[in-house]
Amino acid sequence: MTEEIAIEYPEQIKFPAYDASTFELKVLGMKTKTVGETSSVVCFIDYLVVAVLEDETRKRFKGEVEYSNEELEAAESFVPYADLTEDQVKGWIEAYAPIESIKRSLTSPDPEDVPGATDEDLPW
Amino acid sequence: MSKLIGTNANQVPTNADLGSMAYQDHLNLTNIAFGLEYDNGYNITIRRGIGGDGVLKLIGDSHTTGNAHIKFENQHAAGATVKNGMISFDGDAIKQSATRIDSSMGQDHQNGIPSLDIYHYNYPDDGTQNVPALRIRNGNSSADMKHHGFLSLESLFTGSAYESPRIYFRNNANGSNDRAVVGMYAVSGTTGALNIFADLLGSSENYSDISEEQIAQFGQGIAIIRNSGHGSNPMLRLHQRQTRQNGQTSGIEFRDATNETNGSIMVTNTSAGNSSATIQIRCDDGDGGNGLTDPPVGLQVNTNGIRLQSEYSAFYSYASTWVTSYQTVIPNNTLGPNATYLVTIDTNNASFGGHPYYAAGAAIIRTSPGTNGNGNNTASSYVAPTATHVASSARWEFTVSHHTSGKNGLVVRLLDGPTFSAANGTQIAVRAYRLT
Repeated sequence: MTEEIAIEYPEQIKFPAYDASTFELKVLGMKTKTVGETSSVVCFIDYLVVAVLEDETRKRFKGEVEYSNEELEAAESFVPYADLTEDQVKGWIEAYAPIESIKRSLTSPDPEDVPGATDEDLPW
Repeated sequence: MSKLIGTNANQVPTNADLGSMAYQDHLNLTNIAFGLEYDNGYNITIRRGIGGDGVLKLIGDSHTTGNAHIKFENQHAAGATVKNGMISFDGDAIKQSATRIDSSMGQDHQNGIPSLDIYHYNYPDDGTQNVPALRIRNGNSSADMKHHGFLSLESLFTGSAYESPRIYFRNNANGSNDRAVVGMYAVSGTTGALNIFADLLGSSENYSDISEEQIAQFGQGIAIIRNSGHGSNPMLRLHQRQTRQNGQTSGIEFRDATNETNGSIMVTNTSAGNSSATIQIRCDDGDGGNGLTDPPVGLQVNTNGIRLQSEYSAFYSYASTWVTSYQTVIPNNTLGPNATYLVTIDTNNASFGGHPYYAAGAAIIRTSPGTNGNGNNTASSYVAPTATHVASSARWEFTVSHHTSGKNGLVVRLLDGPTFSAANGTQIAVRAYRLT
């Protein structure tokens, strides 16, 4: 019998850099395959979330959306590959990936950052 | 010679009157001076008069074959080909101006002997410096058009693909075997390329026995740097000349046909006083842009080895429920499928304010191709060796999560972690580093 342990979803901290940044979702590429009688069904999407920080530094998260055969076969509608729009595919990504968590990740401190400390040259 | 006096049509001078000019159908004189300057060493001396336009003007006719020229010739041996050189006007009467120097038109060249010499004498050294031996100037004034006046070295041979004429740079050091020639030429082929080569010259070697050793080629297809570096000698040195300082970068960019940086190798100084540095290999992920620092860091190397860059990081506020309940620290669908991650978790340099003060651990997890059910695989939970500030039984437990039609995430709890109120709010940092 597997132990039942409660799961919580703590809120991810949003750092000040978040509000000073702009974000962009980019579709980098897609893969298709034949599902049943239908060809060119999108089964894989490469995407990129870009955060442009206040100092113009760009930080990126590269993610993947991958649909299983079961998901594809259960799909209620199908749009021919040639008719897909960028906004439509972005909508799929946003429905799949935790974009808000990714944005907070991109605007969180780097591991080598020591809070309140700055690099100094040696005094001699 | 007597003077001829009078202008009558039937006036005839006598041979006696003509003197050395008698019986001549052309002038055959020596030591002729124009401009009142006589030099016994030369047959003709011409001196420019004050305010005059020049000292000699040769005018040809309107045809190319009739262009004016000056020809130089030696008295050649019987049966030998004439050795000569010529300066001529090579233009035409309407639109073209060109001066031409031809050498040895009668052929018979000799290895190592140039067809045209430009000598710059400075012997003994008078201390002057930076005197050009040859100046090719584009234009007579700043108003001259910029697109004129290039130097072109051309090969006319069409028998087969052939290189351009070569430019040689040659020194003349003291030792017999420390002289060298460095040359360059455009190689033959369908794409342009400049080949640069070198050869050490022995004491008796000359242009005729240069043995080319390619040291570089810069072409449209490939650039090559090739040398005989051996042992610990580098084959290529990139030397930063800016004053060393902390954070100073230098490196190499790799751009694609759209002139965007696909990747870069960047070296960053970490001290103004020492040569310490980090090396970063940066790889663009489709965001475009240019510059050494534009692509994100994929791999960083310093003296201690490799430092990975986290793919995902998240920060949370600790609460006492973290001791008993699983906390979702990496949401489902964030990690890639079929991937291996190193996940670290710590208090981000902060303290719980009491026992165990710090708690840091790590785990390596592998994600599945996909998930189709909600929950956690608690049967495979992993308790990591956990670093604390004082002796403690607190330890991080990791478990992979999954959900319907999704991908794995990660949940954790801090077994035997602090439950006192001061610990609440302590920052917890989670970072995922993708290994495969």
